Amino acid sequence: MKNIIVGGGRVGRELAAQLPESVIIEINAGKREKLSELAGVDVIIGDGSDEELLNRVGLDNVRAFILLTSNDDVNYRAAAIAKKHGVPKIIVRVEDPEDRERFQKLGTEYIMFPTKIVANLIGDLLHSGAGETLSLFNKLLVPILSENTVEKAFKEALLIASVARAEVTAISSTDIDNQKMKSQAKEMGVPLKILLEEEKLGSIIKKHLHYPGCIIIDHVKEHSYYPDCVIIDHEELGILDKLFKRSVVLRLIKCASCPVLVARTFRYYERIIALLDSSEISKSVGRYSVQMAHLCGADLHLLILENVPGERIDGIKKMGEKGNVRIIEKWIDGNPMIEVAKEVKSGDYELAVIPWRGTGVVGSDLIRKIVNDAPCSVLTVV
Amino acid sequence: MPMILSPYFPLFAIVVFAFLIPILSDRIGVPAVVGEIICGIIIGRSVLGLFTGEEEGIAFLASFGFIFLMFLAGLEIDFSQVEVQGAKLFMFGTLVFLLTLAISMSLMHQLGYGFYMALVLSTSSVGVIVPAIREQGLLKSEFGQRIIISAFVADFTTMLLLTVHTLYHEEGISWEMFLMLLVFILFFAVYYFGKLAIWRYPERLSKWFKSGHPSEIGVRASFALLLVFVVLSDVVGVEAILGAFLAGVILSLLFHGGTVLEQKLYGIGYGFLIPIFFINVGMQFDLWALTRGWIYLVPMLLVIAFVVKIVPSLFFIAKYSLKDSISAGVLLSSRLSLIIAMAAVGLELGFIDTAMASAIILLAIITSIICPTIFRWMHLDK
Repeated sequence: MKNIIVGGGRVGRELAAQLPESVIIEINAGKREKLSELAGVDVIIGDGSDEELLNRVGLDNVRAFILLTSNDDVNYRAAAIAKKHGVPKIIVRVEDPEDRERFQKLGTEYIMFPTKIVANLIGDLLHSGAGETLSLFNKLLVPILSENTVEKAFKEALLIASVARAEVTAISSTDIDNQKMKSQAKEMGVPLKILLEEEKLGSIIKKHLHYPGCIIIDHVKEHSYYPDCVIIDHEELGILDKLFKRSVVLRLIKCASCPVLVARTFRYYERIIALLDSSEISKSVGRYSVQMAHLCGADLHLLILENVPGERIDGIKKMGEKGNVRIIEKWIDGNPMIEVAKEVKSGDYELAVIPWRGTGVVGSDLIRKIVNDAPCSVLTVV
Repeated sequence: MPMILSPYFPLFAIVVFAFLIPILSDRIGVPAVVGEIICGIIIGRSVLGLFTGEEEGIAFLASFGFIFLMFLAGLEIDFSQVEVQGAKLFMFGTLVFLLTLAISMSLMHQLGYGFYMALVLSTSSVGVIVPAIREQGLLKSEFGQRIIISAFVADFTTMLLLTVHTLYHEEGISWEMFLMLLVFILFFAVYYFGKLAIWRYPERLSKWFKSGHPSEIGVRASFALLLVFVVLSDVVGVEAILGAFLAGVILSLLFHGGTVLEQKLYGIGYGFLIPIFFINVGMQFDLWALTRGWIYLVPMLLVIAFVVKIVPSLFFIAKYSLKDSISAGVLLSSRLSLIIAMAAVGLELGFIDTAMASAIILLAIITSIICPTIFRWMHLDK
């Protein structure tokens, strides 16, 4: 299985260096020499949106088709051809955020907006100099429960940290490949601190599941560390675990005083949904969701569950305007519990921002269900 | 006789009164329910003797109105508040109720009455208490929630104990007593599968709750659920009102209220069936039985009704002032639907006689008027 990268610019080169079994298609023959230096990478000079060329390269045995040219039209045509040939994973870099809908209609799974992310980052740098913007995600904590976490929650933490310019602290154990984590963090330019435990973290937590506080949070407090957000893996629960409430994730969310993100997406979010009601906590839900949408250059869909004071929605919109976030309001007609389940399960979003405690219109049972079973990442706000 | 003119005449008269009473009650400043009972007394056997309440159709509609009232009582409980405030409020409510029951039992025993009367006097009325608290702007306060949850615990536990007591009285301790568990098993099964359905099939359920479904399928489903519980309760010998109440609780737990469907059910209940029940209660009220040497019953019950609620409410003193604690006790002393229901059940099963049943109804009328008034007066300076 190979990866096809269309566009041999800096990003393309960086990526090909990480993915040795790759084919790079570059239109500019002058770049051939530089690209040929990459070990294990085939370089083809030509138009990446030319179907004949793509057929020659072969689209049958492709793991991922990655479009990185700075021309949205080329990317669009190439993505359409790959879609037609049933390539399982198509990742597109889109320059103009207004092109989003065109790519979404095409059904491409992964769309990235580097322009928007970079613009937002630079905007933040300028603002923070004047003390105007305070990021809500400066210190991220990732409990490394198993090797899988390095691939999942840790990866999602690095993505967020890279755009939020945050530091990541990982609580890990000696059986985990900590060197791999260090190199991943270094590649993404994220400061990483590892707190090592001798015993496996998963076993420590399970052992202390009925401890009055949360063993992870209390442990880092001993190091005078107070995270802004804890990022943890999605957890598979059996019937007995559900019955006896043996959920590590729910236990952690229950006693953490900061938001907890259950990682399931492992990439930048494009569409974020936030549940908004008339309770006080919805202010925080609004703040965190705008911040996350701002960092990832995502669209924010506000699911308004009941009569929310107009000034609250206006406040969120203002935050959105300031953070260059497109906000889409959606008022519910029908039962909020059912509509929330419908929206969150729709697969249209990469992140759901939800209030943790039951707030009136959405019961805590449904909140727990979303945390355990939603198809997207979930950020619980307390 | 006008009744001969049309079999619908009694219903016609009742619905016209049901229409006029809220307008008049509003002017006088008494709850509409009280107006309905007083109207029933006037047109019933005690005063004008126009109707007996036993007319064909009226008796059935009144009895179904009673079941529907209990269904709506369950539906009106706001479980989200319990979720937000946690179990400690429930513990507090239970403590208050246990002390109420203990004092009630001891006083009733001294006066030569049995356990049934102790139960009757332990009831409260969520229906009277919630509007009074809302009027004072205390609905979202912890004080307000404490009172509401104490009233809810009192009503629910009394209803449960009423069922156990009735079964014990009729069958003694027999295996049939355990049949009542079937109702609770059904309750948990419907709740569990309902939750599952919301998560698994939100699209299908969604249309039930939206306005304008041509077949009003949501209303039909609610009636079906109500009747399943009522019929099962009847079959296993449990009070039908408990089944109806549990059906309402399920809807409240699953869907958390605030829906178009709920408004439609309120419309059917409070707009048609429930006034028939309360007017019928008045029609069957035996004023003369009270005056035949039993009039002392009312002041006696009134004093006990206040004592059994105010003394336990002194628990409020741990967090609130003495005046607030007493005001909570006074408000918890209001009784209406459930106590009237218990009078009806007690009369039917022979636990109490007609004079006592009438005294209980009069107690309900008096407390539902004066308790919210005293509560309002005690909170005037705030």
